[in-house]
Amino acid sequence: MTHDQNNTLTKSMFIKMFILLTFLTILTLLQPYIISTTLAGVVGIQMFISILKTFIIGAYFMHLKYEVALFKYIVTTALITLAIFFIITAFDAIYRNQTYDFFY
Amino acid sequence: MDHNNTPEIIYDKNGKAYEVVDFNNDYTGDKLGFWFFLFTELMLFGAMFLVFAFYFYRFSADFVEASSTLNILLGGINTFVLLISTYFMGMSLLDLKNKKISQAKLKIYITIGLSIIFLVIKYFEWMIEINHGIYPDSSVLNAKEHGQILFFGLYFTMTGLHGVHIIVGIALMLWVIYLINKKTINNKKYVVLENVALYWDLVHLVWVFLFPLFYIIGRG
Amino acid sequence: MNNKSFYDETHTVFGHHENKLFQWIFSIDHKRIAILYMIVMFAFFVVALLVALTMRIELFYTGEQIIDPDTYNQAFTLHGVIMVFLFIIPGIPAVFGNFLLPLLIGAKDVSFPRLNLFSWWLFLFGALLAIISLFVGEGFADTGWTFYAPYSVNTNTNVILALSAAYILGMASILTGINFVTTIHRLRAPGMGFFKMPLFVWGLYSTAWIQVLATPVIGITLILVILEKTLGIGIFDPAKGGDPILYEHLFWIYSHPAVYLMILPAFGVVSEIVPTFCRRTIFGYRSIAISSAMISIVGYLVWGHHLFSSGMSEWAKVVFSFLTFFVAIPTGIKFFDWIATMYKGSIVMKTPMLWVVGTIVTFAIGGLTGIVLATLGITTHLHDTYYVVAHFHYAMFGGVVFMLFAAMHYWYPKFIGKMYDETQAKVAFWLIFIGFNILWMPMFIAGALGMPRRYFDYLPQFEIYHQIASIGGFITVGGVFYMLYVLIKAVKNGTKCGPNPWNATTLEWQIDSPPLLENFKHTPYVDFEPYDYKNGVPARNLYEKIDKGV
Repeated sequence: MTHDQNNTLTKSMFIKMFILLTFLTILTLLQPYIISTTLAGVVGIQMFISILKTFIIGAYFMHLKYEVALFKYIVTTALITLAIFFIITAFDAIYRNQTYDFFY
Repeated sequence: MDHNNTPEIIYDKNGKAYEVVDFNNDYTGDKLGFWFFLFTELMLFGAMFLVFAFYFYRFSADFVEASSTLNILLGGINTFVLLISTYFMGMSLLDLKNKKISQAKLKIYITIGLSIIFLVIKYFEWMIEINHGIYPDSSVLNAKEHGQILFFGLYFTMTGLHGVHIIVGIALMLWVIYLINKKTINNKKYVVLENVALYWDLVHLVWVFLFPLFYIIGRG
Repeated sequence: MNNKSFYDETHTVFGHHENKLFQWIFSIDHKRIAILYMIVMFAFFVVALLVALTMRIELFYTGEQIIDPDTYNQAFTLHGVIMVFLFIIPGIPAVFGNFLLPLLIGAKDVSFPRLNLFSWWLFLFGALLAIISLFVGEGFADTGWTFYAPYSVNTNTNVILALSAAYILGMASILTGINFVTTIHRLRAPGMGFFKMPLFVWGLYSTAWIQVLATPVIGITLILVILEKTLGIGIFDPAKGGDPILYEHLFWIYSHPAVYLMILPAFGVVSEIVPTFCRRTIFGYRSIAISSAMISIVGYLVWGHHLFSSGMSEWAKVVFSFLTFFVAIPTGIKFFDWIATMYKGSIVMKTPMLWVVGTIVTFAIGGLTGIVLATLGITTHLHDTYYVVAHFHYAMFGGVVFMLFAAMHYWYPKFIGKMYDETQAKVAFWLIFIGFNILWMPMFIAGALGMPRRYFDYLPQFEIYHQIASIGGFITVGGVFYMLYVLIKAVKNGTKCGPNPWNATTLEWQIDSPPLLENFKHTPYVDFEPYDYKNGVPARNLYEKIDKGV
């Protein structure tokens, strides 16, 4: 059974995304020197760039943009699961050493 | 069981025909199954990043201090090496789909070469730390602040785990070359190469998060 | 009906084999792999039962009887590791999922048959590692099956071997999960949408997601402990800034979803058995299907209820307590749907239905006592007492294992084409059910009065509870051995049965018992609900259609 993907990843699109990723990587390296901010700011900007790269890599390099909807649903599910682990663990990390953090 | 590739066709009440999916010849299923495997890798590294985030929150100053001692030049070079390798991996798939077999193979070899360069640079990076007496449970490391001990513990663990995945990736790529030579992978049946390319993209994705968290936070 | 069954012919890896044993252990037929799992799992189940009896003998009186305190620690660790990793987690998916999933959806095998065999080999390898760790060095791990840091890092017993075994077993579980999810997405017979699938398939689907998303977390956690032991990286070592509570978080992020991994297929089994023995369609099909998915999702959010006494923040405790109460709701929905199906139904009280009714009682007790434990005000008093032990045994044994026994008695005729002795099977049920309650009910009381768990010795006021429990233990295990005897005897002496001895409606009962190698000679088109009864009999008989293609 042959597959039919009419709107499939073309060579020129692939190269364009690669150039975009290269640019973002250069930005990653230069960011501390061109934007000076707090540690939280650095982490925030860096993670934002990383997430951008994730979308580009996922959609184009990993072909998700051209797959049927099912693939996009299941990737989203996995990412949400991971996010939940982070959020709930954060409750403990942030409030661990306070004696009365809920019932004052 | 159908061993010749004629699919089974069945009909509903109105006479409409349906093809029964043959698991021996299921391109979508093969990709789907591999994506589920990639999730396991995502959760594996995700849990490690969770550990990192936990201790980064707790020992922010120590982490920044330790991060500033890492060699950002080598780390940066490795980032570009890995990025370029994913370019060649993706291109090799496009070549194979267009029947340019030898070009596809060449690009896979280049990817392998770049991966080896990555590992060599990583080796040098590790040696820099080890030569300073910094490695798990060393007396030099144990004398440092808690946050720094954990930073370097996580550094060796996570880059080590990442490195293991690169080595496995190289082995997979060599196996793909073998299958291309045997013509098991060709311009009609290429799901194995596609899946290995997906794997490689995931390995790259891990580094996309690993690099700023270990190297950049110390530069702010 | 003189077709060859899957016992007569098979497909193998590594070429053709003359040797019958190789034809089994290299077979890529999902039905043979299911039976391979069944044999290994039940062997280990018996071992773990014997370990449990040893503990119960030791605990009959205060003081030391037959084993010393260190050996006792190894005993409950061994019991837990075998029961959790080698019996219950593989459990229903490995045996009944493997055998029945393709049959229930009208497929000829799973999506990746060779990967399926590889999963079994990994399972076997992990089991072997666990056995080896019994006999080398300082003996089996003595940390409890939960391997808490820092003790697991510092003890000299074979923790690394046990963790490696658990890691490999986790890999087997992951690969099976990948196989099942892909199979369910890709190989359903034409016409079978998601809401026409049998509910056991829904259970397996929800389970497979958990296998894929949660198991890697424990994989990396176990690796971290191994690295901690060998390299001293410091992640769980307070002397280096590490946090033992973080270990608990990571461990339970998998291990709590793991219990849903155990119960979801079991609930699926009950949802198959109830309509068959009430001779009518199940009440609330959609709500049961969606509740499976809901349990799977919400189950990821409640792991912290294992950490209530660990020292984590109050905010976290409140969040986890709330979510734990919440996750009981989809389970309750299922129970009410099953009972509604039985209400004014024409109930046939054969052995599978007897097991289902029994488990509804025992699992309800297990679940409700879980709610008690989730209540923040009470939980500290009950933490690490026999109350917890009774709770999870009522849920895991009285829930998952009883449902596994129900599945055994329901699908065994399909596996071997013969029927076991009904009266003897019922006697076995009563022995187990009565013994089970004598064994575990006193523990609720002992726990509330303060008897701690995993203790080798205890104060004299608890002796009576231990003695009652130990008697119950012997009755239960005796019942289990009798049940196994009845089932094994049926292989030679059972009465032959046809394709559909229970008059059920799902696809596995529309083909031979035991099935052909390729399951379905002709795939049926599925445009009907899975539990379609008309006036107490199945609405359609597809045997001829599948066999002849008419």
